[in-house]
Amino acid sequence: MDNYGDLCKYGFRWTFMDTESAMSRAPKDRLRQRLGKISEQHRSALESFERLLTNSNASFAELEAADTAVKKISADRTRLMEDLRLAQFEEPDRFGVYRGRAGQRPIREVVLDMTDELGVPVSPRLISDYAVATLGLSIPPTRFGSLRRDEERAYQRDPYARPAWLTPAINAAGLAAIPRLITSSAWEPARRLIAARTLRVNHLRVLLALLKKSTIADERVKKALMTPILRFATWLPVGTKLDLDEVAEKTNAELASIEQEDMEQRIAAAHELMKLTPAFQLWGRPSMIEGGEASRARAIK
Amino acid sequence: MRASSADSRIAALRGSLGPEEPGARGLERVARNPECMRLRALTIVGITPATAANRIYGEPAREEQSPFALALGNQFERSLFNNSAARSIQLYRDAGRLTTKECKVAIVPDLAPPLSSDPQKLLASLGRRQAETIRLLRAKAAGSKDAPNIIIKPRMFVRLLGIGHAIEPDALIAADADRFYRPIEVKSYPDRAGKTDPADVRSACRQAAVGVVALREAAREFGFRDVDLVVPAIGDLVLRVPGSMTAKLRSMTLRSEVASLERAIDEAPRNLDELEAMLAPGASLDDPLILDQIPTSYRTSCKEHCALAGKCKQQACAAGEPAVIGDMARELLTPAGTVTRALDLMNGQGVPPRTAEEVALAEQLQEAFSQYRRAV
Repeated sequence: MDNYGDLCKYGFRWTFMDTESAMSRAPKDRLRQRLGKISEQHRSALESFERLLTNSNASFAELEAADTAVKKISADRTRLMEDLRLAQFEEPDRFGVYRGRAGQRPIREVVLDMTDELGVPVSPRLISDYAVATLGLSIPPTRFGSLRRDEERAYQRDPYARPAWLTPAINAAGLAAIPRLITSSAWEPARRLIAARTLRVNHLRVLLALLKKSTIADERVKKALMTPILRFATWLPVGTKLDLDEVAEKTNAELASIEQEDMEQRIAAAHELMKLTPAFQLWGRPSMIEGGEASRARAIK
Repeated sequence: MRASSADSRIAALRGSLGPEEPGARGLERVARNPECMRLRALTIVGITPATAANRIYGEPAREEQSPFALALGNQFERSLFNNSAARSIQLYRDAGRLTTKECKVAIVPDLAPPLSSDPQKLLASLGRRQAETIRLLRAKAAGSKDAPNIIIKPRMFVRLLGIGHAIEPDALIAADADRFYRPIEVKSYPDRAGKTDPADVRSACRQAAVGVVALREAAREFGFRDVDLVVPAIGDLVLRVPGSMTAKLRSMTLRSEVASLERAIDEAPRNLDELEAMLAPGASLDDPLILDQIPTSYRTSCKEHCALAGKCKQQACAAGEPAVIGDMARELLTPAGTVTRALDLMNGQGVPPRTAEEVALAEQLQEAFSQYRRAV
């Protein structure tokens, strides 16, 4: 009762807290402790097995049971070793401390640079792959959603706070945002617009940008860029030897056949875009079902 | 007016359960077993068999796909549609279906805000997808030179009882010279030519057929009169070359699949009347006793596509239906009606044969049984 009264009055004793903290040790330590116990069990199981072997009265069934026990403990040990391997990987010191980018350039600036290098609206996945290939920097594509939202909020607070913003591409039909494609606000409007043929034009332009980068890059980067180049040059059968000049020639030929029409369409849409407010010019018109479309949707429904 | 009255009748039949979109898979399921009144009834009122098994009968749903198959399917689809669908364009260029200038791609999910867990945002996003799809289809119907050649994941509707059931085909394809689109169905099944699993091909063809029906409805809305010519019963299956992620294109004629689907859709209003007549006034399908009253037509292939197959099989066993032995027995023993009656006819017991068909069946069974006894 006294103990209970003390507990109500003073809370847990420090020694108790010590025990608690010892119990909630890092998973790696817990696994090591369990491995130690398993190792002891393994040793004693092996000794029993050996004792049975030397005993001429021991039946085969007894030997088999002892052997099964040894195998079971051995399997447990293997599983624990795998868990320990994973725990080792999950430790921060394995990949460097958290906030490893402290003191380096902000991600948004790196992304803006890479978007500029590629020269056209691109997907987060491509930027992520390009960052790994050229800078050895990991930017998970999942981060781009929050990055874009942060940019838009910062723009709303002060549009002149930064020289360039990470903005979404704009659909030429309807002038709404295409959030999955990233552009720079510093680009001219026609470059940020997506018309009927633009996705293909941009695909070819990215391929040319990758080829250009590979000609000036060092061996490591050049080798790393071969994977995206092969992925973009879809006409090459799997396993073909890559001839960069031939790829560039073919890409330029296709680009020449479609670029003019695409540019005309985008310039026409850019004139419409420039009539909107500055915020809508960068972030697109709000997504809404226009009157005609809505009535149509209702009719179909 | 009719749609809204059907809507309230359907909501009453659904009872406490919320509406679900059957999708292309759900609609093709009806065409697979058009004789199953229970499956039709559930599809009409907007309850999936998995929900019925789980929420009405309290059984674990067994409709989930294998996680490995799902992952492979997603990866294969991504390889075709990522990078502005470059691989899809190449596939059609290699097949001589698109020229270099026919490179216009529209990715409908990219044109709308991402799907959200917030119901209002979700509805807005789906509405946007629908509006964008209509805009793109309308451009093609009007003969615009800027209409896309490939539309990825369009959101379309198949009308059942005046209510649109949403479907999202994998993609639509049309060359500039084509008047309208045709559906593309992407499956990660390995293409082994004549040795490809027929059940896989059948299921993919039926899903593509749902796309044909939806395109025909859209074409009709856009004022085309010869919809059968504008949207022929043809779909493109994109399967996987065995052992690789390379895609292989096959155009499939879907005449019978489209016909069976259109028949099933046309019969739906009659089914609703029949369904209401079958049930007591005010009864709803969320009650297991009520659902049990609706007749089924169990087939061995039901387990391929319906989560209620196990339940229906139990009922078929209890009723002694020949279908539990197999599809051949189901056809052969039709005159007898049940396995017990067929055994009586074979053994010459019970009520003597009542019809000429039963007499013929009894002779056939007795002959087969005597041959069996001689052989064993």
